[in-house]
Amino acid sequence: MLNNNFRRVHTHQATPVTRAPATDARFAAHQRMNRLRLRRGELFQALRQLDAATDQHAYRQIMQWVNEEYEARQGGTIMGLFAKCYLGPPYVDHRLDLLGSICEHFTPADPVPVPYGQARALAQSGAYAHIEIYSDGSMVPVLPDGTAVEL
Amino acid sequence: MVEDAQYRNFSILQDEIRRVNHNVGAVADSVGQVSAQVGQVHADLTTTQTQLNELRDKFEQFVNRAERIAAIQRSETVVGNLEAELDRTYGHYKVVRRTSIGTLQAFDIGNVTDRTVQQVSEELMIQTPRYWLAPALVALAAWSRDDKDLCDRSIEAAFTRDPAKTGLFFALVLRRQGRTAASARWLRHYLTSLDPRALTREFAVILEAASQDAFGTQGRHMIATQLTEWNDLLRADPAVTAKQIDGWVTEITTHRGTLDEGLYPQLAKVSPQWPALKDLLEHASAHGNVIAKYTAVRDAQISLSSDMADRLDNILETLVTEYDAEELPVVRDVTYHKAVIEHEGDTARARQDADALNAALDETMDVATLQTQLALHPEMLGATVGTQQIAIGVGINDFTQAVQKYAAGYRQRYIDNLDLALDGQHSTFAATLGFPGWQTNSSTNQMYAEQSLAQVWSDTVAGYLNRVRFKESNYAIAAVILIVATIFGFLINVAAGVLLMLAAAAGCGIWLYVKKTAADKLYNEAVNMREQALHRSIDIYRAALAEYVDARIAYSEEDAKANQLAELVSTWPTTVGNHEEAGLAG
Repeated sequence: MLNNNFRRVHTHQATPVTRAPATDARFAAHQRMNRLRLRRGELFQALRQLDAATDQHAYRQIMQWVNEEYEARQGGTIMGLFAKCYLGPPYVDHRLDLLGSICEHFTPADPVPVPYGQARALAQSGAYAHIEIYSDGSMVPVLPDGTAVEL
Repeated sequence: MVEDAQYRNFSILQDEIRRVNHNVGAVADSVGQVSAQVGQVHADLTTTQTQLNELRDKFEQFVNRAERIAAIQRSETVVGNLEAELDRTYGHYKVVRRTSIGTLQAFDIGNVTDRTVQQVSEELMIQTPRYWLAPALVALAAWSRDDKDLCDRSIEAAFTRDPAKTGLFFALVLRRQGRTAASARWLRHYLTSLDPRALTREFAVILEAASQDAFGTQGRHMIATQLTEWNDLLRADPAVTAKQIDGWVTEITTHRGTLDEGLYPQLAKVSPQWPALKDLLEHASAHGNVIAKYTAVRDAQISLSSDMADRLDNILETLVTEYDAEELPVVRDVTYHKAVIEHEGDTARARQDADALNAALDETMDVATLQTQLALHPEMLGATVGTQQIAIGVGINDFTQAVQKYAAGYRQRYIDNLDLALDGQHSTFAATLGFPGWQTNSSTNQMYAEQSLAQVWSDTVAGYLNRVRFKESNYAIAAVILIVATIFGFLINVAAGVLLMLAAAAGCGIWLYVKKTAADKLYNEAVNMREQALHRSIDIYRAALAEYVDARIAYSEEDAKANQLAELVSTWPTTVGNHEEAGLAG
């Protein structure tokens, strides 16, 4: 699959890069365009269900669905989502790591691991549904209506 | 006999002791007066220090204001000088410009002889060297006289001097005189000669003419096709689109308001994060201003005159007046100084504004940037509101993305919990009693915070009381002095020893008494102040919290306008036909 190729090229430094630079640039531009397409309403519903899911099996199913949704979009490898937490005090935000399927909540005093730390202020501002963090380090905040913001 | 002598000595001694007592009493009075005066000096010193701080603040404000006023005055002088220089250097072009339009109108009416027109045009040709419009004017005169040879030579000369403007000028003139086919030929020739990456500014005239339908249906179609082709070519490079989005972001940024610090007096003094919070609020306020501006643009009524010749005359006048490249450096300077005057001496904001405006005063721009600048600053390119409306319609995607990018920019600096710090000078009580400082955060429970503040205050006051309290060690010091004096005295003489002992006892007694009364006074004062000081600090803390709540409300209101702005942009009318046209569309 296209994404697997991409991941392989970038994680194994010993293997020489087999793509020509021009193709890389076009590929990156193509990914960027895909990243900015509207997210479906079902994605937001699934993420809300995650918060409510207590059953491990249901949790894993929803995570798998979310992962597939992001892979189908072909916007590049997404590391995870960072969002404001509505569980109430003392938690203020949480991160959802899509690679490892981990959900972790943070209090205001907790240090947030890089690269999610830079998304903290954006999440706290309350204007975005969640912020996507990609493996190339870029952040894409997503508005509640599904539009993505290119920073 | 001996008893007599002893009695006499004893009475002398008594006299001496009485005199010493009297002197000691006088000394005690003086010491008491001095102590009172010292207390007075201490109070005066505290008052003086407060007044000095106030004076320093007022002085800093005065210096800032004086700097700004000086900047404004300097800019006003420079603007006057620059405009005079523009007039002096390029003023003679105005005659040629007026003559060209006047000639066309005279041809319409037909009340001017050919010879006059020829004479005037040839005079101007001699008087304005290197100007492209002069030979063009000669060509017009020759054309009216049917002198083909002279006409061709003059057009060639004008073309050599400035091909773009000449081509555009004749395309418009021919259209005005009803030579549609020839006008279309000139227009096509002009368009194909252009490089879309480096258009000179008079291309804005094409867009202006298209918005006013001055080239007719065929012309409009030709222009639209060419523009679409160019845009597709240029926007394949994402850097071009990114540049346009940045242009829009700069536009929104320059519409930031300035926060009135008088609305949040306590918060400004108490929070170390105040500058960041102020910046955040100012950035959020831009949305409201941008909405107001662009709603006015969208709703502006365009009324075009029904006479095609009139419209073309206006466009021709714009073409010949607005676009001389030699004037651009001076016009750029004038723009900066006018911005300084507008921003009342704030040179930093003026520089930002002027840089944004001067983007429209570059000698060459690519077609996408030109359209963006027409949308942002049409007056810098000689365009009207109608062209601006269309240009915004062309750049809707850029505008939408810019709104979100700008909002994300300041939201990355969002402050959720504000630090509050009361330092040692936050009230006169704090300064007097030696308050060490107290930090808290707006997210801390108010009750806990006030308890912690009360604790710090009670520690402070306890420390102060300890320092000023009359210490038991003073008794020991007095006793030591007494013993030393007595021993010293007895070493000399019994009588002297007794004398010294009594004097020392009296002196120490007075000294102890004075010190104790002073210490007691300070102690009682401090005990009285304790309650007041704590309440004062709590009042300041609560006021700061209340102001922070207000600030957050203000921020959410302004931030919510980002959605309204996005809505305004996405619903921008992209059809051309929203202006009144009474008459023929040509």
